[in-house]
Amino acid sequence: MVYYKPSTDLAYQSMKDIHYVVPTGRFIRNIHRWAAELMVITVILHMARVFYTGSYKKPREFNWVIGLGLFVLTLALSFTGYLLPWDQLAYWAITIGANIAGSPTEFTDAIGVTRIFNLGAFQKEILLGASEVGQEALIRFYVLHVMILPILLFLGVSMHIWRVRKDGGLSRSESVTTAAGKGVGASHVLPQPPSAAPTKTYGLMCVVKGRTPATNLNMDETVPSWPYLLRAELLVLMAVTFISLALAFFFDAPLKEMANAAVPENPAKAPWYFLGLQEMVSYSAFIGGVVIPAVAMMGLALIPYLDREKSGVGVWFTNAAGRIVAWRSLVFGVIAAVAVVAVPVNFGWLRNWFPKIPQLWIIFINPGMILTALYALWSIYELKRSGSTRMAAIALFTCFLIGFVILTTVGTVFRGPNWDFYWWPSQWPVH
Amino acid sequence: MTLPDIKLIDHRVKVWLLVCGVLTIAALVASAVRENLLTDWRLHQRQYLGILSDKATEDQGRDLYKRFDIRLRQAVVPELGVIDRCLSCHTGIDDPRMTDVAQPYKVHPGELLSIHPPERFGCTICHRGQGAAVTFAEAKAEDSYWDYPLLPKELTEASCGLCHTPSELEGRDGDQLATGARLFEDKGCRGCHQLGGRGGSNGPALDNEGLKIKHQLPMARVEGPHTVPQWLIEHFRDPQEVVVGSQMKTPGLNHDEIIALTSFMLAQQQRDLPRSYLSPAFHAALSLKDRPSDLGGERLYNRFCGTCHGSGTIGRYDKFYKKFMPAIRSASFLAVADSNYIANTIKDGRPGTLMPGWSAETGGLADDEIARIVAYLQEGSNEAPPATPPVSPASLETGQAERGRSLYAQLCVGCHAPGGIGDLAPALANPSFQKYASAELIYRTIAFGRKNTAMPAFRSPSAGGLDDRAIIDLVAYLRSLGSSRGTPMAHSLTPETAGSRP
Repeated sequence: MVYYKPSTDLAYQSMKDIHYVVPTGRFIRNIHRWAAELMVITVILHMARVFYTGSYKKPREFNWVIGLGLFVLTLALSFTGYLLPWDQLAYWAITIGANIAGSPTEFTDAIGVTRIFNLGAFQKEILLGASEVGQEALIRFYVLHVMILPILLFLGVSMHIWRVRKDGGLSRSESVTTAAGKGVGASHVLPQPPSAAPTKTYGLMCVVKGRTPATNLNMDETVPSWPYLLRAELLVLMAVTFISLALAFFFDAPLKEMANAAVPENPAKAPWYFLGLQEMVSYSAFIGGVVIPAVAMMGLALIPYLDREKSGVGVWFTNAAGRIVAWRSLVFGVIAAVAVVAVPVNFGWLRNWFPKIPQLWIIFINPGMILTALYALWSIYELKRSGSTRMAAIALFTCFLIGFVILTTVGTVFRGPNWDFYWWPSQWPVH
Repeated sequence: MTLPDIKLIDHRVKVWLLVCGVLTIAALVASAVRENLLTDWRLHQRQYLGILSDKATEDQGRDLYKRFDIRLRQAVVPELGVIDRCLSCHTGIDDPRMTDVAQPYKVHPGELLSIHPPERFGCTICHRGQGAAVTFAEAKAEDSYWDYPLLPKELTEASCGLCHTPSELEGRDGDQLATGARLFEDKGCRGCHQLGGRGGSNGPALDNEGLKIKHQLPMARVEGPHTVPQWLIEHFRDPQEVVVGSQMKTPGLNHDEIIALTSFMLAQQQRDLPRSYLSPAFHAALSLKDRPSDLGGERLYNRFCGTCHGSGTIGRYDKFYKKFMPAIRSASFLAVADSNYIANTIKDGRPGTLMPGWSAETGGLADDEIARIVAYLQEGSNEAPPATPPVSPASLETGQAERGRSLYAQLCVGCHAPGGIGDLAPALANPSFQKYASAELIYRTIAFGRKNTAMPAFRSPSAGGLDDRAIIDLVAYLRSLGSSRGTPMAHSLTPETAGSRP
């Protein structure tokens, strides 16, 4: 931060200086880069764990929502940091991202109100401070990245952890509580420890601080945070630190040519965690880039308020039936996602079949939308079958999670120039 | 379910904490050593220190040895936007004793450094490459993400052209650049390419060719390293081999000429270098409003016209463009085309065909230069013009276009294509032709043909034996092509569809 200069003229050269001559600058930048990507991964894993152990249930509903907010903040931090090197990778990734923000224009165009109400252009301009990625975007991403978002993240994480305590510590299985009461604990910022096998995890989750009013447990039923919990957390901290250091030692953070608006990257790809989105955006910018993510985030936020079943808190998949539902949904989710990618790749889509179709049809009936609909139907099917909202939630969450993984993989590995499908980057045509 | 034993868990946590802690410290120490002590340039300077001590035989050498400290060395020239760290490893470039040592310690060859000290010029302004880098691979930047990799040794001269004109380098170190500049003129490159506002428009303008980066050129069929210089070299060897469907003719150069021309191309950079860096001649050339235009008609013709029209005395079939190029120096052409017609045709060209416009605004030729070209064309053929009886202008206006159309369909369409859009033979519907060609010119051309070209004389019995009436009908039809709206014109410019003509 003290060597970096947030100006389009100087930023790239300062990256080069950090890389080549600032003492250990390269190493620190590598750590920063890889840790940021690890953070996105661990946040997703953490969310999955909290979900599958039912730790979002009462009284922790609100902490789940806070957690989602932190997830968005994490992505925002990562995204804003992506632009700062001012290289080709950054420039075109942010251009893609900004175009996603501008995608409602596609919809307003189709219904013919763009001239009156151009939401897309408005959003894009809010994001970039101009109509194109340039100095305005750079300085605002910089301020967001080093000041505003970190402050928000700091407040958010503090609240998140405080709520863990307040909501009764880490969540744990009812089967080990006594009659005393709420016997529950919250999820915690513990990233998935390597020892995520259920028994071990229960062990950690059972660590509940005594004397907290919320637990209502006897002293002999709880374990003090210090030293047991904090030491365990320290272990995770150390392990993650070591992994980041090792990655930073062996792999350099990417830095391409200086940003050049005249030479577009082909394919221009967003940061990897947005490539699932970009895949859907390739079907329809508005639906894939705005509507589906918004619906997904909303759905996630509502989970604790929709699924009010009390049983199974702190147990992976609630029970054996839940495990089966999760597996079945995984299989369904994979098949549906692969099919939805494979059909347009092999057979084209509406535009190829009915060249004269109105754009609105293309916008609304696209593979991303169909995938979402399939997942929703699957969840309803599971709901009918089991009569349990928890099972339906497990089905939906599993589907979305695996859908995210598959679309992200497709976007990362299998998409080449012009967003055409290739089995491997080595098959890309040399331009 | 029972509570696991917290003490046992805690014990395991402690052990793993110790392991992770030790590993983390090890990783930190390893990286600190690597980043601070084992950088390439440090190792090289240590090596160089040894060389200095070996060579410290007299006072000055001992002094140099004593004063040499190991530190990052860089040339910073803000005016040129240069921060070059090459000197961190190439420590001996200014030490004349460093002739018998290995790279990177060798002295810089030639006298160039004494005229161009690195403190004022840096390294990358001439050599290109990534000056900020401190490893060799990244400094050469052939496979790195860097727009301008190190120039191959044989092409470094290209950079002289940033501040010097090729002509002032003739016979000196920049001879190669001068050769390239000469080839550019002599090979008729300007027939299709503009440089400094002068040249045809069929090919791309080359004013900034030296600043192109590899992503702007199709590299798929380049065999050597995928760099711009290599692209240029292979492209000059065989344009179609590198760019499928390229319209450029193979210039037919030997290896040295290709290198010279590549060098000249790489020198074409529109950069705003500080005036204080430019040589007086370069400075003068920049501020010259009018280009030197004392070239004779013949040389102008060879530079700008010869690529397509050849000698101009016979109607040559160009195998490359698959069409007949008008014989603009032939007697039968000159017999019907007056100076105005020729000059106007040169100025406007034939839009949509291979023939670009050459006026000061389009092709950069001054009016008097065009006049010289016209004069050269007219003196061209020493053959006597064919005897052609006069036609009265009035009778030319009486033709019937409908009758002419059917004649056209029988006799002309094979070469001139339906609607006069041109195919093997020139496009007669072209607005520029319609604008400048008089009815008499058309009449005479049909009636008496163009000798030494594929255009027969249609009045002669062997080629149809048309009478005056029929020819006048044809003239009327051809005239109607100019006025009819939506004439199929201006096909995309490919060798198959483009035509050119008076």
